[in-house]
Amino acid sequence: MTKHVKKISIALLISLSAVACKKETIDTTTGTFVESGAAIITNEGNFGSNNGSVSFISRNGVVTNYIYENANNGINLGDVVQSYTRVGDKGIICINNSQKIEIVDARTFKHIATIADTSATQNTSYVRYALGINDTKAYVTNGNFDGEVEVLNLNTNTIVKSINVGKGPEQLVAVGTQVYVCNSGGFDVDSTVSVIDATTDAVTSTIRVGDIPTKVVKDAQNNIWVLCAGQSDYSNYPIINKLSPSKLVRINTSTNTVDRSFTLIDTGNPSYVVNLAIGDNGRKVYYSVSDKVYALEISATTTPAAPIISGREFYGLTASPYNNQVWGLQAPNFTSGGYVFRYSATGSLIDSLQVGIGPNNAYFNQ
Amino acid sequence: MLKRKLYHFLCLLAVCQIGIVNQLLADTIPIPEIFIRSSREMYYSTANANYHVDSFQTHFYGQNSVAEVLQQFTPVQINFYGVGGIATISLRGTADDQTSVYWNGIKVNSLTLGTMDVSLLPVNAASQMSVITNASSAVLGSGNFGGAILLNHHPEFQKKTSISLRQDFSSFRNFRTNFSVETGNSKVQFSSSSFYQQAKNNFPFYDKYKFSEPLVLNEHNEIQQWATVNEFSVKLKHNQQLDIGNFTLQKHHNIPAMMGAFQRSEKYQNDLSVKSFVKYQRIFSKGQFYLRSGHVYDYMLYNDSINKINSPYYSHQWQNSANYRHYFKHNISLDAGVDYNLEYAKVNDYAAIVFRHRGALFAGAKYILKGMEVNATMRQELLKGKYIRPQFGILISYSDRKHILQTSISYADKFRLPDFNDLYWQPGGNKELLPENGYTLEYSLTLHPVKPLHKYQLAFSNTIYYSVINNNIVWSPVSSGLYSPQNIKKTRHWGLESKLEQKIRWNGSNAFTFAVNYNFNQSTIIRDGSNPGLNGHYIRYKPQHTVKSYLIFEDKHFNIGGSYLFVSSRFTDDENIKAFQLKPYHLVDLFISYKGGFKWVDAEFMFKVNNLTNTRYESLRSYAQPLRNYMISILFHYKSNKQ
Repeated sequence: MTKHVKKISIALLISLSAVACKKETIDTTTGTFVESGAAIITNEGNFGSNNGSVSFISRNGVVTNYIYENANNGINLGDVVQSYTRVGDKGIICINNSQKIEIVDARTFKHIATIADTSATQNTSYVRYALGINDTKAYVTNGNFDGEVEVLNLNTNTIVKSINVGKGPEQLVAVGTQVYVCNSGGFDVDSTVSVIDATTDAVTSTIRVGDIPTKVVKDAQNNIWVLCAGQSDYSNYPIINKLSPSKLVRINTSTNTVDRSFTLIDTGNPSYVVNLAIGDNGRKVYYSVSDKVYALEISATTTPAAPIISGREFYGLTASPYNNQVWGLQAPNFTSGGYVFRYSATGSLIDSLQVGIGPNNAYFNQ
Repeated sequence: MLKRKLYHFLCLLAVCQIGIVNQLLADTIPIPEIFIRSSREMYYSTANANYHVDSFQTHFYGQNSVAEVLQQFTPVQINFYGVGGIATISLRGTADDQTSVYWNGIKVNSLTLGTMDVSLLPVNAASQMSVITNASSAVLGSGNFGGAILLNHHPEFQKKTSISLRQDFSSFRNFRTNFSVETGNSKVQFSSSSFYQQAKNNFPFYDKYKFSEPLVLNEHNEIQQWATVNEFSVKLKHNQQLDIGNFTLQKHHNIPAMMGAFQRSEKYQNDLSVKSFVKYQRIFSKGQFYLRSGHVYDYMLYNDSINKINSPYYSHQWQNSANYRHYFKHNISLDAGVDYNLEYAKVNDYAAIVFRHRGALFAGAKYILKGMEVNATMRQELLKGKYIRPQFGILISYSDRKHILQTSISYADKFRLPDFNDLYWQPGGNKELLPENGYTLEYSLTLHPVKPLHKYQLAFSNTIYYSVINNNIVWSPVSSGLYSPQNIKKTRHWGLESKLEQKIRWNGSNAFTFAVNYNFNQSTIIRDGSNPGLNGHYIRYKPQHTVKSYLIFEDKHFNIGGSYLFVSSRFTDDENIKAFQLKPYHLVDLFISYKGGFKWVDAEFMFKVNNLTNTRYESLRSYAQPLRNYMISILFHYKSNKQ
C-alpha cells in the first residue's frame, strides 16, 4: 500500500504542477494625455476596493478610461484616487486610501515613481491635493487630523520637507508666491486658511473663514474664494440640520483678509454644499447647494436667486477654461461607472460621458 | 494572560463536568431507546439537494473555522476578508446577508449586519454540518434566499466515554489546541469541546496593487481566540428528552492594512458571542411535540486608533419556537407551530436602543405513498407595522423501489427583513424599508447507477434552480448627499449544481473516495433603481463556474488525499469593468496521515500542504491570501465502552 501511495503522490504532484502554469495577457495600450484643453478626471473608486482610476476626455469629447492601467500592464492605480495635477512633464496623482503619491509621465501616464508612507520623512498617510510651485517642486496637502503640507522634490521624487498647517488640509491655490491652504478639520473641525510663502516654505498667516473650508479657487482679480461647508447634525437623519452656516467667502490676497462673505445655508437648514468651481475666465464662481448649481459674478454683492442647473446632484463640479462649459461629475453609486454632465455656461445640458467609478475632480491641461 | 488563565479554567471546568456526569450515570437506570424524529427544518426541507459534511472531511481541515470546510465540500462560496478576518457566506450568487446559519435550530446571523461571520464558528461547534440549498421561508423564516447552513449536535445515547486532544502547528506561527470529551449512557449524554488559537499570520504575499508587485509581509494580523461548546442531553422519561447547550467564543483580531496600502494598520476587532439553547421534546402515541428556546448575545468592538474610531455593538436575540406534529396514519402527518423572537441592539451609531418583536404561525403537511413524497408548508410572519404576505413552500419527490433514481421538484417563497443597521444606522438608516422578497424553483435528479453496496458506492446528482429577488436593499447616495439603504434592486439567479461521488472499499480497511462538485451560476441585475444602465449586468463577486473536488485513499495506518478548488473570474463592480476583474484561480491541498494505536489511546500524526501550487489569488479584492503553507497535527484519542 505504501508503494501505491508514493506513486499516486508523484502523479498528483506532476499533474498539479501543470495546472499551476498559466499564461497571462497584457494590454500595453498607451496614449498622449497632454492635449491642451483636454481633461483628466480622477475617479475615486469604491473605498477599500483598489479600483480608483483616471479617465481622459479629449477636447472633442472622446473618453478614454483606465489610462493608468492601460499604460502600466494592467496594474491598478489604487484606492480612493483623489486628485491629479500636472507639473511640467510629470503628473502627480494623490491616492488617499493607498497612502501614496503616484508620479507619472504626464504624456503617457507611465509610472515614474511612487512616493509612499514608508518612513517618518515620507508621510503620505492622507494625501488630498497637489499644487505645482515650479517644475521641480510641488506641495501636497496631507492629514486627517493634524495637517501638513508636504514639499515634493520632483527631481528625486521624495518629500523633502513638511509644513505644519491646520487640521485636515484640503484644496490649495497659489497667488504669486503665496499659497492658500483650506484647513477643513478632516475628521475634526477647523475653520482657517493657512498662507504659505512658497519661497521659504513658511506659514506667514492664518485667516479665519467659516467652519470646514474645503474648496478654494482663484478669480480673475487674483482674489481667492473659499467654500466653507459648515458643521452638520445627522442625529435626526434624514433631516440634516446645519450647526453652523455654509459660507462662500472671498479673501483679498493683497491684505489676506476676508472682504466678502455670503451665507449659502443658514444654521438649522437641511441643505448642504459640496462643490465650488471658477469659470468664464475667472469672472464667475460656480457653487452647488444640494441639487442646484449657481453662478455668481465675482463683482456681485448678493447671491443669485435662481440656479443655472437644477435637479441633479454632483459629486464634483468644474468649469473648462477653454470653452466655458460647466461640468458636473456624478457618482450614482460607487459600484458602477460615474458620469460627466457637460453644460453650457448658462446651464443648458450638452451631453453626458461615462467615466470610472466615483468621479470627483477634473484637471484641465494648459 | 487573563485570557490564557480563563482558557485553563474552562478546560478544568470541562474535566470536572466529566466527573459530575459520571457520578450521575452511576445513579441512573437505563431505559429503552426512543426515536426522536427529525426537526421541523429537516422534515419539511424543500431542498432537493442537501449537502452534509462529515467528521472525516473536517478532520483534514484541523480546527479551522467552518468557512474553509464549507468552501471545499459544499456549493457554498465563502468571501474571506483576509486570513483570520471576517468570512461571509454566499450561496447561489446571493448576497452575504441572504444566507442564514442555524446552530441547533437557533439563527445566529448578526442582528445588526444580517451576515454571519463564519470565522467565528470553529469546526467543533457542531457534530453535523448541512447545507440546505432551497431553504423555504415558510419553514425557516427570514433570510434564506441562498439557502441555510444547519449546524447541529445529535447525541448518540451510548454507553461510552471518549476523550481527544489535538494540537495543530501551522505556518505563520499559528497554534491551535482542542480538547474534547464525550461521555454518557443510554439515558444521559454530555459533550464538551474547548478550543484555543493563537496565530501571528504574518505571511508574505505579492502586492499586485503596488508597482512592480513587491513581496511584502502581512503584518498586524494576529489572532487570539478561544471557544467552548458544551451540550447536555437527558431522557427524562422513555418518551421525553431535554437538550441544553452553550457555545461561547471570544476573539481578538488585529486587522492588517489592505493590499496596496503603505501605512501600517492599527485597527483591531474584538468579538464575544454567547449562544445558548434549551429544547424539550416529547413523543406521543400519534404525535410529537417540541419547545425550544434560545438566546444569542453578540458583542463586537471595532477600533481604529489612527482615525479615532471606537465603535462597540451589543445585541441580544431571544428565539422561541413550539411545534406539534400529528400522525393521522403512518404516511400522513400535519404540523402546527408558533415562533416568537425578541431582538435588542445597542449601538453607538443608532439614535437609541432598539427592540423588535416578531412572531410567526406555521403549518405543514406531509404525505408519503410508494416512493412518492409531498410536503407543503405555510407561514405567516407577524411584525408590527409591516405586512408580510404568507409564505408557501412545496416539495414533490419520487424514488424508485431500488433507489436507483430519485427526482424531485420544489418551490419556495422567500423573504428577508432588513437588518438593524439598514433600519437604524445614523446617518442613513431607513425605517421605511420593505422586506426583500422572492422565490426559488428547483429540480433535482439523482442516480445511483449501481446498487449501493458496502464495497462500492456511486451517486450522481444534478440540480437546476431559478430564483428571483425583489426589493434588494442597497445603500445608495440619496438626495441629502449621504448614503441610505433603498429597495432598489431586482436580481435573478439561476444555475446548475452537479455532484459525483464514488467510494470503493476493499480488504476491510482500505478505501478510495472521490468526489467532484461542479457549480454553474449566473446572477444578474434585472433592475437597478440607482443606475438603469446596470440592467443585465453580472452581480459582483459571483463566479460563474466553480469546481470542488477531493480524493482520499485510506489504509489501516495511512490516509493520503488531496482537494482541489477552482473559482472562475469574478467582476468586482456592478459595471463589470474588466480592468478590475479578479482572475480565476486553482487551489490544491494535499495531506497525509499516519494512525497508530496503543492499548488505551489512538494516536494520529498528520501533515498537510495548503496551496501546493503557490497560487496568488484573492477571495475578495485587496485582501491578501497566503502562498504555500503547511500544517502538522498530532491527535490523541481515548475511547472506551464503559460497563
